[in-house]
Amino acid sequence: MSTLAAGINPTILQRLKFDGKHIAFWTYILVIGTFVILPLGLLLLNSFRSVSVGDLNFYFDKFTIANYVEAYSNASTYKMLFNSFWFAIGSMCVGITIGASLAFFSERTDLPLRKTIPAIVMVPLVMPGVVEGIAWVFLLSPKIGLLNLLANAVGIEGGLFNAYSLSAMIWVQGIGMSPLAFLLIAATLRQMDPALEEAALGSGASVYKIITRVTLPLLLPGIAGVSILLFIRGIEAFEIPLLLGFSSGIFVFSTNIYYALRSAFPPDYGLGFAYSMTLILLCLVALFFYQRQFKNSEKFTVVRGKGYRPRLIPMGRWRYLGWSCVVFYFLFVVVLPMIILIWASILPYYRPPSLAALAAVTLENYWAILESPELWDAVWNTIILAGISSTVIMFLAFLSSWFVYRTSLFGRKVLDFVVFLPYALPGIVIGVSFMVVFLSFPNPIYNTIWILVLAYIVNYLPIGTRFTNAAILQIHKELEEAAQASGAGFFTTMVRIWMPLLIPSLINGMLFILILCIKVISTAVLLQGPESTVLPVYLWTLWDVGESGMASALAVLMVLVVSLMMLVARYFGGNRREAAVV
Amino acid sequence: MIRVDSIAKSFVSFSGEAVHALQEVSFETKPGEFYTLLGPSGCGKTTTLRSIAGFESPDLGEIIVGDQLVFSQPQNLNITPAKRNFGIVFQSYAIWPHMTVYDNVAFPLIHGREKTPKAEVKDRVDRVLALVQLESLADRPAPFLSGGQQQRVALARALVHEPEVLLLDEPLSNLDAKLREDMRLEIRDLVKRLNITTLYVTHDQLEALTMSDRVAVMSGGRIVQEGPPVEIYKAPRDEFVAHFIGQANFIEGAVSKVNGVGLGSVLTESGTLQCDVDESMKVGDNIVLMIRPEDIDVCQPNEIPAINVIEGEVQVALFAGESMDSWLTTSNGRLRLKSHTSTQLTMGSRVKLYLAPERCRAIAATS
Repeated sequence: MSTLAAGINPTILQRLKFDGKHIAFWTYILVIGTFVILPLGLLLLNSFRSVSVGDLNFYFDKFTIANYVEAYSNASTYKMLFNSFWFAIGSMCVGITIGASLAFFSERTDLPLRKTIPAIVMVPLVMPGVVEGIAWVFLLSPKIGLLNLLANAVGIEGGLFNAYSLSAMIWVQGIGMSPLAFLLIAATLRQMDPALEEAALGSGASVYKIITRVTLPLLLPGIAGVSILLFIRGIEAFEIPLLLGFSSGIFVFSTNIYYALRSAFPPDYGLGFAYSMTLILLCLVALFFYQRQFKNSEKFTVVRGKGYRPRLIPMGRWRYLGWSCVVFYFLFVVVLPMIILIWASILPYYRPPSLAALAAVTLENYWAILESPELWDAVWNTIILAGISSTVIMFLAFLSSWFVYRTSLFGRKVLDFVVFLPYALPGIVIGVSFMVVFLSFPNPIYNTIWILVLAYIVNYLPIGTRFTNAAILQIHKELEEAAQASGAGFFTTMVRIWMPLLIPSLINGMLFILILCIKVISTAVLLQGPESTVLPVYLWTLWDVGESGMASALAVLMVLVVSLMMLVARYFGGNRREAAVV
Repeated sequence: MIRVDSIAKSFVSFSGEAVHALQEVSFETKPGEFYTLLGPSGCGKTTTLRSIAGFESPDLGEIIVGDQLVFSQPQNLNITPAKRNFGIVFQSYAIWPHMTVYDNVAFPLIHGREKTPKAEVKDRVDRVLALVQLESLADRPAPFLSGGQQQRVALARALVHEPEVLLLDEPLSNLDAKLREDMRLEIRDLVKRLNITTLYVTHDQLEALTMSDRVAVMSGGRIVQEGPPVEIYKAPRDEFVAHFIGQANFIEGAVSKVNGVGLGSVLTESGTLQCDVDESMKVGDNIVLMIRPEDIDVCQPNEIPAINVIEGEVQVALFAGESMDSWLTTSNGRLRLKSHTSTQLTMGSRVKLYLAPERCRAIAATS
């Protein structure tokens, strides 16, 4: 007689069975959990030990808070904190302002040609962070930056803009985040029920009143959520602070960690770890607020039913303002950086644009780059890194989504959390934690490409699951049951029903991770060794040693490659743009 | 045919309480019968169907499909759905979007239990597509089908391997009203021609009444009444069934006389009314007298019968196209009428109503 039939609740023990599915599940959780939690745990551990180069291990001896004391009794730490917060808040404001305005024009007005806005906004995504930084140095360099020279030409003397300043950092990071802000705010705008505004209209309110008293208050929770997300991005940002702030001593969290662990001589592990733990704490707190805010803003979304159009605000004469904003964005964020990069790449050494300089145009930078063996080493390493990690990630992500959404196994919420955790953490911190693990015991992995593969798998697994979650949720259970009812066995169902329906998403995910491997350097900088340089870090190295010509050429080539890959990804994945901006 | 023997199923909900989806369900269909499980959401009808298919496993009982024992809790037997012999049409149709109509329908023959030789496959698929009138769409990719077409593909796929049993899980609920009407007749016609035992699950009583040979009304995980549609409609056994099928007026009262041949009298607020009284009832039993709105007559002033007449005042009278729908206040409470459109009913008028004894039915009160 089953206890269930007798009306007694089953105990936990009775719900745990020992069959293949359960064993696979618990093995999976153990493996993933180890790779995610262990590095972080060791990092935490070692931040409370007095550490030095060659002295990291698993033992909890010599407990001390000296690292934290040293970090927080140092005046420069507070400067760094101030910079970080100011940087995050500033870039958040820039990103929100640009993103919200463009979203507004695109979704809620009748601005002619507004359908092109989403495509325009997505273009900056093809530029890796390092590339953007380089371009804006050329544009805002104190003496020879193009924009400064233009200012001089209209009579404003003496370096109006300075690339190596906090304001420049805020600007560049802000425009880099504007595609994300645009996407999310546009989605929020689309979810607003027009009837709410029409009710106000019916009461005789003016357009201005409607916007300020109905539209904005309803949008505020959603916008607040997006702001928190941008803040998190800002506080963990690495590439722009590296390019624009590092050399002039303007540090934020991530670059300070990099400095302590790589640049300083001897490396200051204690400081690096203390900063890392603080950054993790900040990110987790911000994430907590984000989750709360997200739940809050869901209250106001009123999407029901089909065929649903929000009210469009007529622009009238204001449309010239609208167009100016879009054109301004396109020029500044897309055209200018690319043009200056191309210009820099076709000169043997950088000279501001002029007719005289035109005579010196040459392709020698491109030849130099393409003939450099280091480049091809880096390309090969990147291919291995990207290829292996993206494949493994999509496989693991598929399993994770399967366990969480297609079984009723006890403990799958834990799995969901563990797999999501790396998403909340900055890439530099994941790099630090893996560094700690693999310096704590003798192993053949440190300084090879394989430590990068492992770190990337952990870092990007949550992104893979975003693709596989969506894909699996879309496959109705009944599609599987219909196959069973037709007499098909387990493998036939897998091969003939599941795989064909999932493969587009799996490929889409792989492509997306491949693109990230080319764009992002924050995880790689601390982990790569002499034999395992990857492409974006190679670009940074070229720039750092002053090979600006070759660096510009490489930058242009990388943008071309990423653009191609994004076009392919669009072809496969259709319009899942929301997933495209992470 | 299908035989379900005392199946029960409970599971634990999110909040940790036990939910008894099926309390004790038993029924047996005759070969070739169209048998419907009818009830509101949560009554257990879909759970029953899915247990017969094998997608859910009961905690107790036995299930026989065709001549195969597919589930038996005492014998610890639970045959996987792939090895049971049935066809199923899901509420969502579950047409595979990455295949054409032909591939969808051919799937059971190619990848199912008995591998069919290639030459035969095309033949059988064409035949069943003709049955559902989709021959011209064989090469159409599934995403380009309308709801009605998808439903026919689902039906074809369920029938292509000629099962003995067909399970249908609310197949018409996603269609618009006109299409639903047409498909009701088509489905019944089709399964009767093929002589397949059909189990149909729905919450729509009109479907149940028009399509079925027998209807089992379910509530709270049990079958509360089982019988042909006419019987369920005219002789409901309790308030729930009477209320769920069609519309009903309920008049409270107590049994005052039992004649022994299924007739008797009940005493109500407005006096004694003669009606159908079940033999099992005794004088003094609390009952509700059920009469359908279409069975109450409005008396002409000069033709008032001797018995079963009550007075009423018209509260609302609405012209509903094919009938005159009205609400009247009487000493027996509010009564709802459905009369011919020629009947004179104006708001506020006082009329006499005749409740023919053979159309009144005493049902045990549930309170």
